[in-house]
Amino acid sequence: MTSATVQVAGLRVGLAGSALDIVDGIGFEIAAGEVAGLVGESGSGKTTVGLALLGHCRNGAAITAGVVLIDGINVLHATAPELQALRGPAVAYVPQDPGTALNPALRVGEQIAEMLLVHVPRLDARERAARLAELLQEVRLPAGDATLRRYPHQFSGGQQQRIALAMAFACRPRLIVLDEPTTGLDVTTQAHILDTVRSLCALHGSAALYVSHDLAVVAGLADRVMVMYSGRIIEAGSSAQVFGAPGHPYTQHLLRAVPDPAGHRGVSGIPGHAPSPSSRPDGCAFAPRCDRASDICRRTVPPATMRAAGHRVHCWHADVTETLAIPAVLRGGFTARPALLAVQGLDASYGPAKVLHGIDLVIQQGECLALLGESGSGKTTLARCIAGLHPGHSAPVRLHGQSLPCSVRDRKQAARQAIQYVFQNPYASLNPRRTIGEIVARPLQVFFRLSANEAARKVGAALERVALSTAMARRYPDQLSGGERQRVAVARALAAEPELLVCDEITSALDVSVQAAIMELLVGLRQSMGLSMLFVTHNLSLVRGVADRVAVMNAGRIVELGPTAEVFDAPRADYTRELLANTPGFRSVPLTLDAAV
Amino acid sequence: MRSHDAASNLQGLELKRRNLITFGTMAGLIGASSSAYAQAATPKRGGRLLIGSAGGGAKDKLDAHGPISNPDIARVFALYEPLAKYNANYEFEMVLAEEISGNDSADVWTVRLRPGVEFHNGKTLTADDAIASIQRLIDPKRSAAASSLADIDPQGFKKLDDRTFTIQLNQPFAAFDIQLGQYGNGIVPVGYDPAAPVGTGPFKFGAFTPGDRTVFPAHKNYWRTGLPYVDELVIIDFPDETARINALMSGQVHAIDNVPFAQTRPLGMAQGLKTLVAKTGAWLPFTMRVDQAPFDDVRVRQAMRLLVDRKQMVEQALSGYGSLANDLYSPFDPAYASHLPQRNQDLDQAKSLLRMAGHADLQVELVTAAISAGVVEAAQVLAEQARGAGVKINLRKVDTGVFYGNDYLKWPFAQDFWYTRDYLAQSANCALPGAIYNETHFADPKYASFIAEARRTLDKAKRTEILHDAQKIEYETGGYIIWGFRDQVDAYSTKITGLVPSKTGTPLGNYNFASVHFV
Amino acid sequence: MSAVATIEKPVRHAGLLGRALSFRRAQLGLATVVAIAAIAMLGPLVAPHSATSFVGAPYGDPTARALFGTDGLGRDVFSRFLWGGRSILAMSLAATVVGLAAGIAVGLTAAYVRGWADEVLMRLMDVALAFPQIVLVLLLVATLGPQPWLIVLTVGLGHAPRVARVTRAVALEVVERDFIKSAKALGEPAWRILGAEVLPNISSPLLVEFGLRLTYSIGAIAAIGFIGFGVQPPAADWGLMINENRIGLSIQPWSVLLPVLAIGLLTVGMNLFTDGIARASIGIDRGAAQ
Repeated sequence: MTSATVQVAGLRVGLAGSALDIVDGIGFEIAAGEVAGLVGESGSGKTTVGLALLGHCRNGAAITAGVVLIDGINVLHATAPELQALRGPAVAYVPQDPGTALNPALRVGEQIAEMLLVHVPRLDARERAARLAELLQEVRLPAGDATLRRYPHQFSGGQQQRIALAMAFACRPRLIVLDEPTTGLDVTTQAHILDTVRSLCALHGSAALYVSHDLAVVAGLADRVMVMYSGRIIEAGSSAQVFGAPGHPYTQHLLRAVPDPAGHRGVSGIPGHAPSPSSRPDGCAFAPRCDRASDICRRTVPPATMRAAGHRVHCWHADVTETLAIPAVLRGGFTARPALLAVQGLDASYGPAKVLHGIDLVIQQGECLALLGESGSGKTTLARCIAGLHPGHSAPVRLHGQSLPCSVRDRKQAARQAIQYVFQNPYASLNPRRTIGEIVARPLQVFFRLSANEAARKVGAALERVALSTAMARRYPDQLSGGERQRVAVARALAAEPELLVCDEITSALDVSVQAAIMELLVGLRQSMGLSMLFVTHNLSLVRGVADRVAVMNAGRIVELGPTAEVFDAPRADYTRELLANTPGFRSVPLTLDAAV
Repeated sequence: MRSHDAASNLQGLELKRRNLITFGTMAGLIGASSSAYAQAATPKRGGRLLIGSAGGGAKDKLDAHGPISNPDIARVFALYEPLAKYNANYEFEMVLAEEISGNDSADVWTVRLRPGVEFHNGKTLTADDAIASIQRLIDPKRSAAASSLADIDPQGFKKLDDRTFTIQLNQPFAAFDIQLGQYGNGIVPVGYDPAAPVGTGPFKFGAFTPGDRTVFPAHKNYWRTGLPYVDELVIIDFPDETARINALMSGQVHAIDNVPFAQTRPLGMAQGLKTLVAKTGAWLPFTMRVDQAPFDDVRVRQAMRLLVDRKQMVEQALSGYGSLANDLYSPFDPAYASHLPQRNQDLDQAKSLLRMAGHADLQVELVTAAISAGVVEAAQVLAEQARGAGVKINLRKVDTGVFYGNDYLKWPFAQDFWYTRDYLAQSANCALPGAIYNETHFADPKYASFIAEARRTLDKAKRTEILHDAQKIEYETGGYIIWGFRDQVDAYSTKITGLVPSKTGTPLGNYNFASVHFV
Repeated sequence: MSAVATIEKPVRHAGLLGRALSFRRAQLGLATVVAIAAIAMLGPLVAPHSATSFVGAPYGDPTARALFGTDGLGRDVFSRFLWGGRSILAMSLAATVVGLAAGIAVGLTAAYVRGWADEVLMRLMDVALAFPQIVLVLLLVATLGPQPWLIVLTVGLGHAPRVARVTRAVALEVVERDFIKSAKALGEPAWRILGAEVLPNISSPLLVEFGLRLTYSIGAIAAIGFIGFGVQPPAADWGLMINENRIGLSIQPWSVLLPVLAIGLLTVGMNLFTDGIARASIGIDRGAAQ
C-alpha cells in the first residue's frame, strides 16, 4: 500500500459558508504508472475531486477535510508557494479545453521551455532542447523548430491537446490529472490522444487520474475505475471488475445506457435525476431511482462492501448477483421505401469557404437515416440546408418531388411544417423567457391557426407524447433538466406533425443516461408515428441502435451510404473503417451483461 | 432715495469722527484725517473704471445713432454727446450747443455751438460736423433716429459761421430743441465711420469686442475741463443678472446697471457696496401689435389693460421699486395727462370686452426676455393676473440677443423698456407711423394729426390741450400696457464715487462716467 | 420529476427586482426615487397654494403661510416645489421611453439584419453619438420654440444611439441562439421574432439602460429648464426654479435648495437603484443561455 504514488483519504470539499458538501469521503490510491478512471455524470463531483488533488477548488468551495499524499507530501497542507513548486514536478493538470492551459501570446517552444526552466533548473540549455525534442516525439507532434516556433492558435484542437500533454509531462510529474481531455475531439484524434496518455504514463511511471463521463473511453484506458454518484464514490475496482461485473445498481444502469457500437444491444435510460448537494436524501443517494431500494437504503448511507479483492461497492444490496436485463436492440430492419426528400449535387458554402460538395442524398418515407461525421464534416450544414436554415446552397431540396426554396422564409407553410428541426443544444433552442406551454403551443398556432387558448389545450397532449407531465407547461426552460428540455424541443417539433424530423446531435450535450432515455423516446415515437428521421451525429455507437441507413460524411462529402448493418460490418470506405477502429467500446472487456442475454 | 439716506448717515458718522479727531491729541491721527479730507475735496484722478452693463450680445454696436441695448447706450454716453440733453434732475441743459433757439414760427432753428470742443481725433467741432451729424441722423437709408427728426428739411441747413447754423423744418415744431437734444442724436465729425468711432464724449474708443467688452481711454482734451477723472473706462456685457451681481460683489467691476429689484435691499446692505435708486419716468411696457390679431381688435387691447393689477405688479415684479402708471408715458412732461382716471384691474369688464370681441377664451403668447430688470418678472405677474379673467398668456422667454434680433418690432405681443422722455420726443420714437421703435405698430391718423398740430403749436397751454387729446387716444386705443414707472436701481462699489441718481431712467446717473472717481 | 425541486430557483423579472433589492444601496435608491416621485406626483394635491399665486413680498423669509419663504416674485416656494416636479419627471420619463423605443428598434434591427444595413445603421448612430446632445436640443428648441414635445423628442432621440448600441450588442448574441432559428423555421415574421423572442431575453440590460437613461434625462431636462428652454414661466419646474431664484440664493436659499436637493436625490437614487439592478442581472441572462 505504501508503494502507491497517490494516496487520498477522507477528502471532503464543502460549499463555503454551509454545512453542505460537494464531495465527501473520497479515498483511493494510484500506483506509479497506473491510470485510474474517475467516471460519473455531470454534477457527480468528479472534477471537484480532480482539482482537489492539486490542492485547488472552485470559488465558493473549500477543502474541509482529508489527506492527499503525493509521494508522501500532503498537498492539502502546502502553502501557496509550496503548491506552486509542486505543480509541474509533482502534479500536473490537463484540462478539457487546452486553450485555457496554453498562453496564446507565447510560442509553444517557449512555454514548455519556461516550464522546464522554473521546475527543472538543473537542466542546461542543451539538455532542455533535448527534452523538448523528446517531448514532441512522445506526444507525437512533428519534431523540430517549425513546431516549437508556432503559437498555440496555429495548431488544431487535437494538436493543442498534445501540446498541453507535453507541458504536463515536461517535468515528469508523479501524478497527472486529466479532466475530460478528449471531449470535443473527434474519435480519431481521441484515440490517438488516449494512446499517448497510456504510453506516457507507462514510460515515465506517472500515476494518472483520468476524469471522464465517457465510460467507453475509461473502459479502454484505465487500469482501475471509480464511479461517482452525487459526490460519493459508489463503486471502485479494476476495469474488468467494474465493467465486467458491476456491483452497484447505478453502475449497472449506467452501462445499460451506453450505446454499443457492435449493435448487439440497445440502450436504456435511468429515470429521474441525481440529487444536488442541497437535496441529497438521508440514506443512499441513488435510492430514489433504484428499483432495488429497501427501507435501509432510504435510511442509512451504505458502507463499503468488498465484492472481490479490490472491488468495493457502496450498496446495501451489493451481494445481489443478478443483473438487469439487457435492453433489446430497437432498430428495425432496412427495407426500400419511396423517397420523401431528395437532394442532388448540392453544394454549400460558408462565406468564401465551400463546405459541401455535390451531396446526393435521398431520405425514404418512414426511415431513419443517420448522418455520421466528425466535427467539420459538413453534416450540420447539410441538415440545415434541408431545413432551409442555411442561407445559400446550389441545388434545390426536393420534398415529394417538389423543389423547395433555399430559405425557410420563402418556403410554403406546408413545407415548413413537413420538416421539423431539433437543435443540438437544448439550453439554446428554447427561449428562456417563454414557458414550456408557450413554446410548444407556438407551432400549433402557426401551422394549425389555433388560437392561444386552443393551442394551450393541446399542449398537454404534446408534452405527454414525450413523457413529460402536463404540469410542465407552466414552467420555464431553466426550471428543467437538460433531458427534459430536449424532450420539450422534440415535443415542439412533433407538435407541427411533421413528415421528417431532423435531429442535429440532439444528445451530444446530455449525459449518457439521459441520452439513452431520449434515444428510447425517439425510437418509440418513430415507430408509433411513422416518422422519417434524419439523425445527425458524430457518435457512431449511437447510430447502430437507431438508424436504418447511414450516410458517412467526411470533409463535405458523403463517403459511404448504405444500410446500417452493412456499413458497420463491412465498411467500404477507408474513412469508415478508420472511424470504426477508433471508436472506443467495451470490446476489450468481457461484459457480463452480454453473457446474461 | 435710499442711497441718499445712506449717504447722509455716513456724513453724520464722518462728522462725529472729525469732531473726535479735532479734540484728539495724536498728531498722526490728525495727519491721516486731514489727508482723507483732502481726498474727498479734490477727487482722486486715474484708475481704470470697470462697468458691468445688462445685456449685449453679438449685435453690439458703437454707432452713435440708434443704440439698442444697455451696453450700446452706455457706450454712446461715453463716446458721444448731443447738442443738449436732460440732466439727472430732468432739467434740459445745453451740451455741445451754447444755444438752440427757434424763430417765432418754430420752423427755423438756430444752433450755436460751444467753442473749443475737440473731437477724439483732435479736430475742433464745427458747424459742418453738426450738420453732417444731423444729416446722417435723418438719412432714411441708414439712420435709426430718422423719424424723430423727420421734420428737418435735408436741404435746409445754413451755415452762418464756424459755430452757427440754422435748421429748416418742413413744418413748425415747437419742441424741436428737446427733440434734437437726446442722447441718441450724438454729434460726430464729418466723414464719421462707426468702425473707428470718433465723438466728443469724455471717453474715446480703444478696443471693442462685441458681446464682451469695450475699452475707452479717457479723452484728455475733453471740453469739460478736468473730466473725466479716470484714465480708462471698460464697459463689459453682462446679459446674466447673477453674473453681473457676482462681478460687482467679487470686485471684477466697480458698478453695474440694472440690479434686480428683489436684490436691491440685500445688495444695499452688503459690505462695500451701495445701491443707486432713482425715481424715474422709465417704463417697461407690454407691447401689443395693433395690426395683428387678436390685438387688432381695440376691445382686446382694452381688455388686456384691464387685466393688470398695477399695484400688485409694482409690488411683485419690482419688489415695490416703482410707481403706478396709467398706460401713458412721459410723467415728467408738463403736458402729461394726469387728469385721466387711474385705470385699475377690472376682470369682469375685461371678460365682457373679450366676449364681445369673440375671444372669450383668449390665449396668447408673450415674448419676454431679460432686457431690463423687472421685465420677465412683470410677464409672469401678468400671466398670473390674466388667469383671473380666463385669459391664458403663455410666456416664451428668449435670449436678449434673440429678442432684439430679426424679430424685434415684429413680435405680436412682447415687452420693451424705455427711459424718461418728453411726450413729443417719446411719441416720435414709438407712437407715430414710421417711428423707428414703434413696437405696437400704432398708426392712428387722428393721433398723428394731433401730434403734428402740437408740434406746430408754440402756445404752451394750447399745446398741452392738444397733447391731452392725443394722450386720450393712446389711453383708449393704444397698444401699450404701461403699468408702472420703475425706479432705476444700480449698484456700485464704495471704491468709487460720483454717481448720482438720474430721473431720466438712464442707468448709473445717465451713464455719466466722466464725473466718477476712485476714493 | 420530483427532482425538479433540486434545480435552482429561476430568476425572472419579479425575481430580478427582488434580487436587486437585496442590495442595501438599491433599497436606498428605490426609497429615494419613490419619495421624490411621490412628491412630484402627489405634491400638487397637497400644495398649500397654487404654483403661481402671490403670497407675499419677493424673497420673503419662511413664515407659517409660506413654509420655505417666497421666491423672487413673492410666490410660495414650497408650493412651487410641490408643483414643479411633475413636468420634469413626466418629461424625463417620456424622453427615456422615446429614446429606448427608438434605440431598441434600431439596435434590434441592426442585430437581426446584419450586413450592410447593420453597418449603415450603426455608423449613423455613431454620427449621432458624436453630436453633443444638449447642443442639439438647444439648436432645435431655439429654432422651433420651447415645445415640451420637442424637448422630449430631442432628449429622447439623443439617447437612441447609446441604447441602440447596447441593444445591438446584447441582441447579437441572442439572435445567434437556436431558438431564434427555431422561430425562423416556424416562419415567424421578423417583427415577432424581434419582439417576442429576442426582446424578452435582453430585458435585463435594457432595464439597466432604462435606469441610466432616465438619470440622464432628468439631468438634461433639468438643465434645459435651467437654461430657460424648458417649461416656460410662470409654470413651476424644478430646473426653472433654480434659474429664477439663483440670483436670490444669498437672500432666500430655499427656492434654490429645494429643487436642487430633489433633482440631486432623484438622480443619485435612480443611479443606486439601477446599479442594484445591474448587479442583480449579472449572470441571469448568461445563466439562461448557459
